[in-house]
Amino acid sequence: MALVDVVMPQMGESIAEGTITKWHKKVGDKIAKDEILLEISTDKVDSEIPAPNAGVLAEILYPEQTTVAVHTIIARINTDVNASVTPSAPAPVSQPKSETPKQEPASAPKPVEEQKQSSAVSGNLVEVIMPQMGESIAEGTISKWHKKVGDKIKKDETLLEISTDKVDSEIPSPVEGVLAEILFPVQTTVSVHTVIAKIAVGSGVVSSSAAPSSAPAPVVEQKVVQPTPSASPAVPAAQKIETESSSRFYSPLVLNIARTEGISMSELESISGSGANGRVTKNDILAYVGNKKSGRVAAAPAVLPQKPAFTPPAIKPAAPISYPAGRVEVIKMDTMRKAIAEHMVRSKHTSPHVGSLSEADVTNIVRYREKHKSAFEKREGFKLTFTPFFLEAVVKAIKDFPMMNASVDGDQIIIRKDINIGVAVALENGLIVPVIKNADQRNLVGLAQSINDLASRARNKKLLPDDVTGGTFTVTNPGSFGNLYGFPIINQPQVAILGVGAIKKRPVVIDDAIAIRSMVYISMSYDHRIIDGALGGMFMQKVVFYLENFDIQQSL
Amino acid sequence: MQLSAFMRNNFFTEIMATITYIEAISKGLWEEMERDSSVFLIGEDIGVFGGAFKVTKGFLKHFGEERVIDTVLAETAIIGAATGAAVVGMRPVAEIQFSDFVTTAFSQLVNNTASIHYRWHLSCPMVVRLPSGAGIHGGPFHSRNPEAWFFHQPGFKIVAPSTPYDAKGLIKAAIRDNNPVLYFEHKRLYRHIKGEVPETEYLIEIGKGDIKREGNDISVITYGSMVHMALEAAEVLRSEHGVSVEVVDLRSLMPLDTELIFSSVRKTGKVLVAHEDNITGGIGGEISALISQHCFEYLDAPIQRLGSLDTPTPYSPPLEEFFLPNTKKVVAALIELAKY
Repeated sequence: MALVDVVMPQMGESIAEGTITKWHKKVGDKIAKDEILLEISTDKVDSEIPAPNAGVLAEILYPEQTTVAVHTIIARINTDVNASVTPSAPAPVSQPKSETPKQEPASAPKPVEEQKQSSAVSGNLVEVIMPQMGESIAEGTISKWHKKVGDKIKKDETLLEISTDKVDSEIPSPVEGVLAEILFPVQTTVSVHTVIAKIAVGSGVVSSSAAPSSAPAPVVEQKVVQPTPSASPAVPAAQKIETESSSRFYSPLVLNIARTEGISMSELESISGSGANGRVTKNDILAYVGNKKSGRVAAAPAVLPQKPAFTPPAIKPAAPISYPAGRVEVIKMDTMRKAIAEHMVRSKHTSPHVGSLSEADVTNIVRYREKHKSAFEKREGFKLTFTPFFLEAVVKAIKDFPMMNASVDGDQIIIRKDINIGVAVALENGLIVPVIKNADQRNLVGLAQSINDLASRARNKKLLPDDVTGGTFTVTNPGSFGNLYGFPIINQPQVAILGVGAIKKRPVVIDDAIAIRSMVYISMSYDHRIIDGALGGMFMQKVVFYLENFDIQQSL
Repeated sequence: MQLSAFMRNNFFTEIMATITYIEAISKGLWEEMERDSSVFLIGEDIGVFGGAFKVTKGFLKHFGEERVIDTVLAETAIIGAATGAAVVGMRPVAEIQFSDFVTTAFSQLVNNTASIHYRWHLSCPMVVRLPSGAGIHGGPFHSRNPEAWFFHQPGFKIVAPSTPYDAKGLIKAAIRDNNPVLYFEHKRLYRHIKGEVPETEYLIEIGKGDIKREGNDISVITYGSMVHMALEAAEVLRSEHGVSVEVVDLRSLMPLDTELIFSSVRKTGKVLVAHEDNITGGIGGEISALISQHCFEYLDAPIQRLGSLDTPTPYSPPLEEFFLPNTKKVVAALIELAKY
């Protein structure tokens, strides 16, 4: 049985891992070459990965939602069903894998390759490694493969081109044979001494003088493995660490700690060093390990290289302000002011704020309110404001886009099922945000009643703790003082805050005619960690839609 | 304060909670001579004159000529006589007035004394006191730290105390040891260094080092006079650089307390080996080799060494200062290590 490994591809130079998001096939399914086998997502791109060969999916080594390092074997395809595709039947095995090329250090262990060594290989496979183009060069980028798998190649014929940060170079084939395997695609950057291709040399084709024109020995055009399901699919980091090359010097102690703590070389490379010439010191790696253990660096299987989590720089106290004595008034902050200050700074440090601005034609709402406000006030005992109209539109839009009603907890997104809308209320000495619980269960009048109740209790300092907690989304009203729009700060741990500007009559173009309409700007700040511009923008357009399509026939 | 008749009659005119390094040696010798009549002293000017540094002042009067023996100016005779006496069951303490001149007794020591147990299967319970060290403007003949010569020679135990407490505990332990013990006492420490020494009897086991200051970032492995420079430097590193330095005082050079050395290095990962003896061929080289052999995977920086320059000790005070290690040099070496 010939098994072809499917490896996690490197989707870009700086990408070290990928997350399997979906398997399109299950074990036992037939798959054609280049048919989509799985989907992966990395921190740069999401991608569909085609099958490298036709066959039957023999093994899935990682389930969905697993994050694995690039070049890790993630699945195996049995190509036996397509055995007729191969040029001819495999010759019996005469010898194990031949010697590796001379330039590869004999001492470097290659556990992965050894696992893949097979008694089923027909012809000997010679490994082609990324050469070291200079003393200080640690890696090279494959810029072009001159041959494709299955091509014949002569000794010293150009096999590929590489580029390093010093030179570009054509790499000749170390032997004559047939290119059996290309392990890295073009534009991949690999460490020096990494095996990048394998050339099959059959008996009789090892040297050109032996049997130059005879037919090459049959070649298995894949990385062939013995089906040993128990074999561990990835090399433990502990073994890996010494075989990977590095451009930085690590002290024996640092390497020892890395090994003990299961930190891979690529992970080690990501640690910034405070020692001489940026060397990673004992304290640097211990701090990293400490952060990792305390969860400040995301924990993951030991095989995965990791980048240290971003920690915001500590807030440095501003330089003391000097002021002329007697020419200033000093006001001590009260509790609310201090709380607002702390909350706002923390929010800005927590969420990368992104903003969008939109406008809505609320002429219908203005007319509707004009028509009903007297009766409403008479009946309810308080004035009908515009706020409930906006809240109603926001709540409807949230139902369409539940992600707007979320929180971020570490690497988890918590989508809240209750829609509790906070409404910012300006007070004499500050601001408070009472919360309308289950706003989606209230109609326009219900919302109006809640707002009136909460706002008046806020102004009379009669709010209960429960009234100001549990919010999932906040609406603020920078328009209440006549301003067109504002740029609000997210009310943590929510992920978005929507600001309603002042409703102003403006000349607006409608169907190539200029009309006077009541317009309002809707601004929104949202957390770019989980809400991208597309979602934020669609959500806002939905709010605009509900405002502009307000049913003026409805009773109040 | 009530004084014993013994104390009143002797040079310890009062009981001190804190005594000097030289007093600690004297006191240890005195106690051992009182305790064991087989202990006797032999050396130049130690009787009538009371010793060049007055270590044995008052001993002749108290213990008599048979136990405090003034010799001719011949170190080879002192060591030969002491070795012979030790072989027949006495416990001689030989004093070489300046350790520089132990060279004239070199053959007696390394060929005879050191190999007696191997050749004859006999004990050789003797102590050779070796006042050593520079910093006293003694020039090339009165400043040496010759411990490395004997460190290389199998058959000796070697100690080099840095404090009054260790000096007393080690001289007593050396006298009671059945092997030849070379006792290096640093001349500059004699009256510069004071410390608390208990009145009650105690011994310090030969072969056991001592952490003189605990720290986490860098280990200084040292002995003798440099312990004090290391302690001063460690304080500078703490207060001015926030670096925590551990000072390991070996106290015994043979056998070495390798367990203590290794545990300290494994804790800190960075190490400075320091001694007043010059660098090349010094004991620090052996210690460095042991550390790299046994603690390689714990090292976060290359092992550093600090010692005197590889020249004779200059007479000129400014040159001598330039030649010797000092606190400033230790600080500089530690900063380099901290930065690495």
